[in-house]
Amino acid sequence: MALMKSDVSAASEEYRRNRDAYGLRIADLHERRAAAMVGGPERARLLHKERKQLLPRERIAALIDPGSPFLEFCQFAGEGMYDGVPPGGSIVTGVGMVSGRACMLIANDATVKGGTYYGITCKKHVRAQKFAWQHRLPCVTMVQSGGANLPDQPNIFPDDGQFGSIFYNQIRMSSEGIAQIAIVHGPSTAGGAYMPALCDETVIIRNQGAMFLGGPQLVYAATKEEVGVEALGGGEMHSRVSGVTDHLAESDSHAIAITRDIVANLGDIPMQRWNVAPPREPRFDPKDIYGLISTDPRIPTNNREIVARLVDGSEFHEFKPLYGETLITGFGRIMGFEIGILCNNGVLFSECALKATHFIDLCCKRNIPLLFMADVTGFMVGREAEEGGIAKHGAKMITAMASANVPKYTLIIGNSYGAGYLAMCGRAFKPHAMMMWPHGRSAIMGPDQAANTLAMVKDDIHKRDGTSWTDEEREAYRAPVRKTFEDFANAYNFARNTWCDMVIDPLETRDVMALLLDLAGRLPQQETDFGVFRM
Amino acid sequence: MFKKILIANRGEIACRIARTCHRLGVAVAGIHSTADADALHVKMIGESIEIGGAAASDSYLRIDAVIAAAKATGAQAIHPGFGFLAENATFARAVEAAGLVFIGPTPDVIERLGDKASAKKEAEAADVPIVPGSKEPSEDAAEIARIVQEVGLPVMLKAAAGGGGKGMRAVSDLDGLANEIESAMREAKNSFGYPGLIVEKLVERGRHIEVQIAGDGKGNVLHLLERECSLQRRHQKLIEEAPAVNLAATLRDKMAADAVRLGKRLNYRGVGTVEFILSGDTYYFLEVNPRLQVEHPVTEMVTGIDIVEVMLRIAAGEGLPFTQNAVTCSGHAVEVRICAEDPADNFLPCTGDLAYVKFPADGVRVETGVESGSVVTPYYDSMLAKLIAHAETRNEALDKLERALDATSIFGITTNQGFLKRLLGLPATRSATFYTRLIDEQIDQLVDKAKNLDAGALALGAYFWMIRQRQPLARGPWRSREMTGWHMAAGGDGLSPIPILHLETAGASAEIRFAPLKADGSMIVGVNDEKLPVRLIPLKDDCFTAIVGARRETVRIYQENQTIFVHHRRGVHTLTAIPYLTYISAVAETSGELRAPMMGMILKVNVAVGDTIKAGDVAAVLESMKMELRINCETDGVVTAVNCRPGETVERNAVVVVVEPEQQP
Repeated sequence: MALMKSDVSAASEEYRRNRDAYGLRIADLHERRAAAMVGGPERARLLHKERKQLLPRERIAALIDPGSPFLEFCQFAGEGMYDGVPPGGSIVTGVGMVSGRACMLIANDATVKGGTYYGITCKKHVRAQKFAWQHRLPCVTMVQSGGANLPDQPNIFPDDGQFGSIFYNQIRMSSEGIAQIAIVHGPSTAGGAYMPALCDETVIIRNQGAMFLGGPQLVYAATKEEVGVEALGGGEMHSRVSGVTDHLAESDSHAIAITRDIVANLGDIPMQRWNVAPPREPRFDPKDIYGLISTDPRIPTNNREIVARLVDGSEFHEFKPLYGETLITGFGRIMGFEIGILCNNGVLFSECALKATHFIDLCCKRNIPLLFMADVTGFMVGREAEEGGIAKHGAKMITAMASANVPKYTLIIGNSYGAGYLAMCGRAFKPHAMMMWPHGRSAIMGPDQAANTLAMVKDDIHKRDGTSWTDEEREAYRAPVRKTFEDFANAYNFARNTWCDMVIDPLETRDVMALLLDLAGRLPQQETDFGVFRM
Repeated sequence: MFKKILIANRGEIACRIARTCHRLGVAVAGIHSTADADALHVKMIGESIEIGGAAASDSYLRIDAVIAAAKATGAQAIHPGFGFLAENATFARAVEAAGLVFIGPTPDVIERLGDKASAKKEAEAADVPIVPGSKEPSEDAAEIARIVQEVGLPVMLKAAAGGGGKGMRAVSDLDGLANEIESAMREAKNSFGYPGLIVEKLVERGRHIEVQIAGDGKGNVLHLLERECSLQRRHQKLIEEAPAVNLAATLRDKMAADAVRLGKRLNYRGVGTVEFILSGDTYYFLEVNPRLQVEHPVTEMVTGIDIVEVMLRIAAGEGLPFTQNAVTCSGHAVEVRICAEDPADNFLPCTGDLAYVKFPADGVRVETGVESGSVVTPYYDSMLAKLIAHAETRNEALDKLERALDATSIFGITTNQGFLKRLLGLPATRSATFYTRLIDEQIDQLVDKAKNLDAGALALGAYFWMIRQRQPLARGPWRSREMTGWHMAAGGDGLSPIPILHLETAGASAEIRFAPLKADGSMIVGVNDEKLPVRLIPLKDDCFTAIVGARRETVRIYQENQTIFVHHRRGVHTLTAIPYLTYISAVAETSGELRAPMMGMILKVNVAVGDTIKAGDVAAVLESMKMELRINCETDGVVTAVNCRPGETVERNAVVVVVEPEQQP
């Protein structure tokens, strides 16, 4: 395959400036991750440990195979959204190997507000389930939750994608033979009790785990019956009398050991259907990416240089390199997995859209997964573009992208604005996973454009009403809009809202892609039927 | 030359004799006990007869069975090796009576040399200097005490029927002499069946020098130079060498001449060793070993003569295959004996399975009776193997031997390897200023009893354990070595939030955490609270370049089931690896509550509060549905409650007995 060319000077002033700036971004990323890994307040954690219980991340570490990677999802969910809730939203989700099989692990963090569900907790839990469902990964839910966080009712109770969806997804996955396993690590009331009750196989811990639809106080209020936690819904009762739970454990670790045995007995592990080549490092050092990414959002990055630092051996078979060249398309391998890459290198023109459509069709015919590397301000506008039919060409690209049934991944490596965000497989188009680099930005439009557009609307109103405003007034109106859009576009804003699955260091990209592609390669192949292409 | 011989021995010497036979085209057969059916010598010899049970007296010492085996295999001659029947005149006679050839001295000579007192007489008659002392063995304690006083202190009391260092006792004080004599006699009686003692002047700071001789039984006797075996522990040789250094040529010649003269007087047939004790310029005759010696290889290395071949040729009537002039000394050879014994535990013999045995491929001569998978039983000698280094100079040979000990890995049971290495490095060894009691006098400094937790060795074992469970990248990134422990980096050391592995080693344990494997193959391993950057780069033969912090060294690591052996220059570490989850969940595997499996009547209660009971013990018996059901204890522990009485009816699931499970330390 063709070796890519590179023209980068690590000695240049710009490279050094970019590299130093990116180093700060990575330090910031690490700081945010470290903060997200702490869990609840120290007092709560100590109390938890005093009760001889493992913290959620310890439970996960104990559950996964020694040396197994752990690919965490939505680590920053809820960051800054609720008072006293650290990033993560009182739940930890991610994929790890259990008894040789990749599983989705979902662990409540009882040290954060008793492990109760906020709106974002529901969204994160549901997102983990959807990934598991799409990849047919058994789900191990480590339950220790007080159920819904009542004041956040509107974001928990009524709608699709909220708490109710957790149950629905469990049942539908179970019906499709995707194992649902729960460990009841602590008292789990109402919704917390339904989660394990709706599982295929459930483990409970004596004198620690408990499940009931109504707790002792609620029972007393309703019927005046006086009953303790253990008698009402303890492990002993549920394992021997009610039969709600299937395995009785003596401790967290014992429950986890039983769970490993459950997973070990789930039948054959699906085989990898792709031929994975021996992985090779890129010939051009991925570390250069730090020096390549422009510190100024208005100065474009040469993304061909980026691709050269992500594909194995820096080898890339580029498709239509001379046509629609602001969209790079081609085939390469990442950690041995073959992949079709679509990478912006400027705005999208009609030719780019046609080329993308053609390329996506090729990948679907060849059963090659797609990676969308987004760095785009949008589709080209103007008379020439409209006359050229950019609307129908763009529609073809979006139809091809949305119809494609090969695994799709989205990585925002710079800007991702407007229709460009959507065309480059935005969240609404259900990529198998969506990642952002820490400097990634995404919004309906750029901050300046948004400020200008809204100011022009005001200009029109002034014109219509026969009024006017000074340049100072106009600027005072623009500034907060720009700020709002800037804040919105931030990768961490996407992450806290679970609009993306993870914010990753560019140097983690190959590893994350390999982990994701390995999971997707164990699914049966799906044929693609494209929607109507407007010609 | 014989067409076929029987090797009536086991272990390394049986293998070694077979090797010469193979080279000479002499067919061989062997014998083995039931315990040795899978032993290396059986495989190496290729044909072997099982002649009895594990105890030597039921097999290797059974004269009739050995001769029957020789007949059954069509052997013309029997090589006895050393030990067992090698110095047994009755056996030699029986072999000859059976029409077979005994590869060794005549029965008569064996007899005359077998008894210390008579050997001494032979030496005296041959004008070889003998140690002042009693002429005859005595069973009379008063007589013995008189001789002690006559010879003068210090003296050695020796069991007349003893040998091989056993039944000897040094006396340097007249107080308690009577007691010493009495207990020496009792010991002699118990060990050898004959309480008779001889008294010998104790030569202090004596060196053990021995001369290898060979005779054709027709009056021709030659010598094959001398050996020095002064490094001994309780009269057991540990390190032997040829030639002896710091020995005046006149003395050397005189000792050799004495040995040959004695051999000639005996009309010696076969090979033998005349042992002397040397102190200053004075030496005395000790004894003659009328057989092949353990340490014969050092002589072979410096003379180039195969002593087993010499034995075969003499026994076949071919006479001596060389002349005295042909015996020259080239370079220096040193031998160590690797034994299954624990120096830290008073050299107690060790038995068990040898999980792994690997000797250096080149540089030294290896004589072994064991291989990976061999079992060391308590029935026979604890010697496993010998390493023999040959070099231009003595120091080079010692250096070579030290390296060879480093490169020798014997995993599964404790050996004296580390102790031997320390001996090779002793200034007294290097300067050859040793004497036979040296090790006994300095034993406390020579044995390393402290078993410190070596965090580096644990980290290496842990790294090995982890990497071994991971697979090549071709099996997918989730299983791959390269992505071991991968998670999203958050700065810091990246160690797992809880330990992943529990490692146990002699008297200590450690909890191990792992950080993700780095691109260069290194990994931070947390050993309790210590963090060590570790890396292993595979070499061949289970060896690795181990990098722990700034130190790089070659180590050998091998894992069998839960046991990981880490062998570095400071010794072998045997680690038991238990996944941490298994370790912590096993502690609380059972609640200790024993329940009635059905509703029924208690027939019998076997335990009371305070009883210590074992897993599987029947705590109570229940009658239900016309069946007797046993309620077994699930764990070792102590009974803390008994909630039922015989005749009482209990509900299903009722807790009848509570046991407090024994906590793991």
